[in-house]
Amino acid sequence: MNALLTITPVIMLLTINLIPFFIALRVLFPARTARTSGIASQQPGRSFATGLVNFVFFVVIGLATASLVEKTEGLLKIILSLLTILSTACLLISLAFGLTGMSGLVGERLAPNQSSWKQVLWGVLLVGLGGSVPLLGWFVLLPYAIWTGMGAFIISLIARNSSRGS
Amino acid sequence: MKHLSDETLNEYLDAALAAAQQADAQSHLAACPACAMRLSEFQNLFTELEAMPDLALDLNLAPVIVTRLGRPAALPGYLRWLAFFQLATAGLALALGWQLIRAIFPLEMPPQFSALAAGFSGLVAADLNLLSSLPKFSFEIPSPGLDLPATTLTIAIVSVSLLWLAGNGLLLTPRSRRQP
Repeated sequence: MNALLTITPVIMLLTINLIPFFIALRVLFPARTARTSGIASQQPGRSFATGLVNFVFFVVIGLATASLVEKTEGLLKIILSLLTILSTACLLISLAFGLTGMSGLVGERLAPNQSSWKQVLWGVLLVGLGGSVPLLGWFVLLPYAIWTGMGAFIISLIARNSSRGS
Repeated sequence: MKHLSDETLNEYLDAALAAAQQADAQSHLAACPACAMRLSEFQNLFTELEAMPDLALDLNLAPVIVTRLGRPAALPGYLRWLAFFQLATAGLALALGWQLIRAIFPLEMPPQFSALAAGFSGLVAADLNLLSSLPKFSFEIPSPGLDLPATTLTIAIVSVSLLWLAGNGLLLTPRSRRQP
């Protein structure tokens, strides 16, 4: 039980570290993060399902290829190692952009008149601290934010062509 | 009622508006037939543009431009000859003045080739010793601790890949293209 309760302060500390990271992402990639926020706002269900499918895919591929690396040698080992690194990189990049988009969305709804970076600041604080609430935060709010943001980011990568073509 | 600008309509099509603006635009479009018509025109225009074939130009100007950009400006002929003349004069002056230079700056005899080779091999040996004393760099993928047979892991990879393909195919295809 004590071990479980240490998750809460860990998430709270992580939240403080993540604030400058998400603000930097928002500043460096304003169009991409704004599109992610917009899609998460307009299509939350589709974003959530897309994020869930891709999250499961990248995690399983990463774990399975990392396990297979130990059982193989030579060229196959190198290919599997590269696959592991690639899937982990994809997961981390989409998580970073997705959570930045979700933080921006929460901040925009919370403080619509504030500047962009302040909206992200409030959004990260709210999502992070809300996600540190035992059980409900860990297993409901945080997964929802992660999967919806990740899905919105992935949809934003292909949304331009589909909206033009429709 | 203030109509939506063309720029706003374009951004609406790209889903590039902020969430609140997107919602405003959507509600305006629902109530304003003129803006809805304009949006429809844009959609038709972009659909037609995408459907147009890519035409190749009759004359490819790229090689000519790239060649001209990469070519340095040519020197006038007399400058090239002047450079050769300067080089030859410098060589002659060095040959004539060598004894004078030796008198002003007494030079030691150049080292023998064997001494140079011995010094070089000593340096190489010292560098190799230094390299061998450094900790060896190695990168290993951290083990996830899954002690499953390779067959099970392969089946898991194939299954999740199929799920991923089917899921993304369903979720990422626009509804308009899914309808028969």
